[in-house]
Amino acid sequence: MTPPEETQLPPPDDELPPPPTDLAENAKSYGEIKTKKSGLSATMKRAFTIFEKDLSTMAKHGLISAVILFIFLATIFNIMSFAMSETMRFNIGESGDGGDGPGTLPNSNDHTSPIAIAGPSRSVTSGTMVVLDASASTDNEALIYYIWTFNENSREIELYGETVQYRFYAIGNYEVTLIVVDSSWNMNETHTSVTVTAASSDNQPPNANGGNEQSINAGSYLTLDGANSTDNVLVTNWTWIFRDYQNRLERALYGVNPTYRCENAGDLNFQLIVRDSAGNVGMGGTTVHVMPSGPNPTPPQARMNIDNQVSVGDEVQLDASESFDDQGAIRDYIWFVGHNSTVRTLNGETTSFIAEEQGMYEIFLAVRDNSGNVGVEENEVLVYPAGIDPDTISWTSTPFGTDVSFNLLTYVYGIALLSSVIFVGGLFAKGFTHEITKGTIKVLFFGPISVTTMIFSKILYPIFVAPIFIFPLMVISLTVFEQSLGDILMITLVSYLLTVVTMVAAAFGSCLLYVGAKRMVLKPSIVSRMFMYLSLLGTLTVFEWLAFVLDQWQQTTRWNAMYLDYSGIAVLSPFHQGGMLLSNAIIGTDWALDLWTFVIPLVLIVGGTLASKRLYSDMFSRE
Amino acid sequence: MIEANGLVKDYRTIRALDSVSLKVGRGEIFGFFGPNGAGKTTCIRVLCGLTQASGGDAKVLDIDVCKNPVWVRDNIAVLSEETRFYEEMTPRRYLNMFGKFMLVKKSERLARINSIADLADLRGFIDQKIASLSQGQRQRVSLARVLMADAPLLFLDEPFEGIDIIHRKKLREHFRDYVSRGNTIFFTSHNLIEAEHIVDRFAFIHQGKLIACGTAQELKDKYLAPSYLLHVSDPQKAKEALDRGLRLQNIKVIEGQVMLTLQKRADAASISKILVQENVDLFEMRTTGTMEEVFERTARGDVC
Repeated sequence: MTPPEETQLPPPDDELPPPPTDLAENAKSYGEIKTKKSGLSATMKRAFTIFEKDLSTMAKHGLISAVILFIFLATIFNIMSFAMSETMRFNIGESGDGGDGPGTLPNSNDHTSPIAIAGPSRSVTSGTMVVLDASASTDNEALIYYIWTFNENSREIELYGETVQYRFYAIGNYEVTLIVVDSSWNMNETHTSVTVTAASSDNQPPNANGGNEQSINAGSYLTLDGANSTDNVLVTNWTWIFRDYQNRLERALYGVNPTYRCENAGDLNFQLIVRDSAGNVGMGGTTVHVMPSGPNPTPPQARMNIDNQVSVGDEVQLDASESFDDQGAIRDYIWFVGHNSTVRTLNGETTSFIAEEQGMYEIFLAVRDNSGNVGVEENEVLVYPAGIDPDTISWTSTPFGTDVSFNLLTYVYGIALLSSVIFVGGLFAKGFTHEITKGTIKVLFFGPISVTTMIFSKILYPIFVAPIFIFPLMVISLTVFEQSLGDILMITLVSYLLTVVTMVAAAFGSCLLYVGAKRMVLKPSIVSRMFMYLSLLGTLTVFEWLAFVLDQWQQTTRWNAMYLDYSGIAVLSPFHQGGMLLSNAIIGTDWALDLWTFVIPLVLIVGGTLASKRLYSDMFSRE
Repeated sequence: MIEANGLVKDYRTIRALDSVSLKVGRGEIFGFFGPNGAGKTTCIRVLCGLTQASGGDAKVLDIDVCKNPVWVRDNIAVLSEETRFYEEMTPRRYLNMFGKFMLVKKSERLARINSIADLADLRGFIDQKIASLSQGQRQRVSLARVLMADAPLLFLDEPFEGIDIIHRKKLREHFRDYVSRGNTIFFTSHNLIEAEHIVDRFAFIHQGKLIACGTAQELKDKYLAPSYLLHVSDPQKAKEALDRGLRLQNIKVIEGQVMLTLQKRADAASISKILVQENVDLFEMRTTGTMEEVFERTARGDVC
């Protein structure tokens, strides 16, 4: 034994406490230790705390740039939307308010616009029949449409034809627009004016009185009362304008006490226009509340299934069989088919009409239940000239088709995704990169933070941050499409949900990538990169699955068809394409497609989960 | 509280832990010591579930740490030498965030922050950005985070770093009070002299292997020669008497005190008898030799 070479004195007693007593003396009987085990609720609370911490960091460092980016995107999207709305307006053949783009009919080589000539401006006295003549208009081909539009007493009047007649009663100046369209759908417009003056020295307008509000049951006859309208000379005309069928279909009644059978429950707002013999006009109105006549309070849902593009001479099938009522009590199916100045009415769950002329047919379906509740849907049929097969026209030739609402959804989804990627992805990446490079993420793991909590906290970005930017951007972008605010919000909501699914998949993939990186190989492994990309593409599979399930449930093929027709990115789906290839290779058909779309991602998800479990545990293996 | 059996941890070609087995009971401060790179931090990481062992198994609070690392971290608090911070935060906000992680209610959270701020000496900078704090102040913030936890087991890596003498005393009292309630502290430090007055049991790790484990007395008995320091009324007379009556390795008088080393520990009981016979008053008798010496000897493989 070697003795110590140098002896060290212990420190003085007053500096340190005495050594602890022997452990055996401390061997007491302590109470039982109850360990805590975090459940889902604790995980979520902790994830929200991390999210809150991240947000404040982002708000501090990224708010100004986010606002600038928001303004930039809002401007870009608004311009894009305006351009798109103009394109759609042209494509559906209703230039209406100034669409004069140089578009042409698909497969046409004629890009020469016609020249519209509406004739000279003129001044007439009230009650004069005015002839509007566009026969001087010219084109290198044939002109097929002449559309005259003007406003009379806040009501838009449309007249169709090369030469039309209209009797102007109301005094005022009318700006008349003429649009001419040639057989290749090149168009041009011009304006003329009609000034209507009083037929006598009487220039005092009459006083319109539409009577008191009324309430009646659906199916009853309504009698309106305009008898209390007065004039200094004589009231000579009573015109009642209102919109029936859930405020969608404009109707007009004439006379001092006209009657109308109110078939549809809902409010009818009548505008009464009275005119005296000199052409002076007065306006008034009244409201009629049409109550359901039976106990069924819920209106039915109108659903129509039609072919939106046909050729001249084709029979257009109208199918409302997918309409439904919660009590199965649809009584009437009413179709209004509008083309130029004619509107024909058809009845029945399924019916048809012959598309005799090329151009746009506006289809309006109303379904009514036993109580008079009514549901409506509108659509359009584009009729191509003979010689053009609609089935061969590519989507690029009419880039946004004719189904405006659906294509808006597609368009908005794209915007939502883009803005999400820029905003959320940018912020997300910024925060995550910061944590990784600075190593601060390790701070959290010394607390009771699991990798799951960490991933969940990052997924909260797209869920909660995205709408802050996306909703205003969408509303700004969609206002030019002249949709109702309700429709805009609904479209935006659906797009937001789709975007969130995509972004969550991206966030999940990024987190897996991070976990792979922390495995402490020098670079992220190929496997972890693959997880990220596949989880992004896996989003498509979610849609595909959803379409499949909906079709199974509703016994249709429409959802899958919609997915394939409108989801251009479906071609990127390895599950779809892979499924097709495998099915074709193995059994010669693609009938097993849906099976593959389930099996392939399932294998990937299970494999990914198992693999990532291994990765998680080794996150801190290296100093 | 902790039971590890044959823990092994390999980093590619390096074996950081080599069959480490240990048991830590309730109500004790367990000291875990070793030089830099010996495997202390790795062992703590494995026991906290922050990395997975390459072999062996461990239970912490009766939970298999290999299978349920997050469950373990739910019930412990860890002070690590590599703690990093969110630099933009103030210590108050940092502690509040961890209070939320621990699912502590707001009122209690605020109360805990206030009391811990005193204990860890944070008062002077609790509302300053962490980015502006010194290394010692940061260490105190980390310590405060751990002290806030209502956990039955603490892992403390150098808890006294950056703490002044007054607060060290308070902290030692706090730790002693904490373990007296049946809780446990797993403690590491480079300062063995100070640790000797805090730690109940010591474990020494060297090159990944656990080389010694026991109380200070047990280890000193096992690894150090039996040396004593005597405070007596007549040092010279005592030196002569003891030199005659005992088998000694050496004896000398230093600063009025007698320091001697016996050849056999069993002879220690005879010291007082001899001094009584010689009419020398014995005021105090203390063992000498520090745990640092114990560690040096264990690392060299020496055993008395």
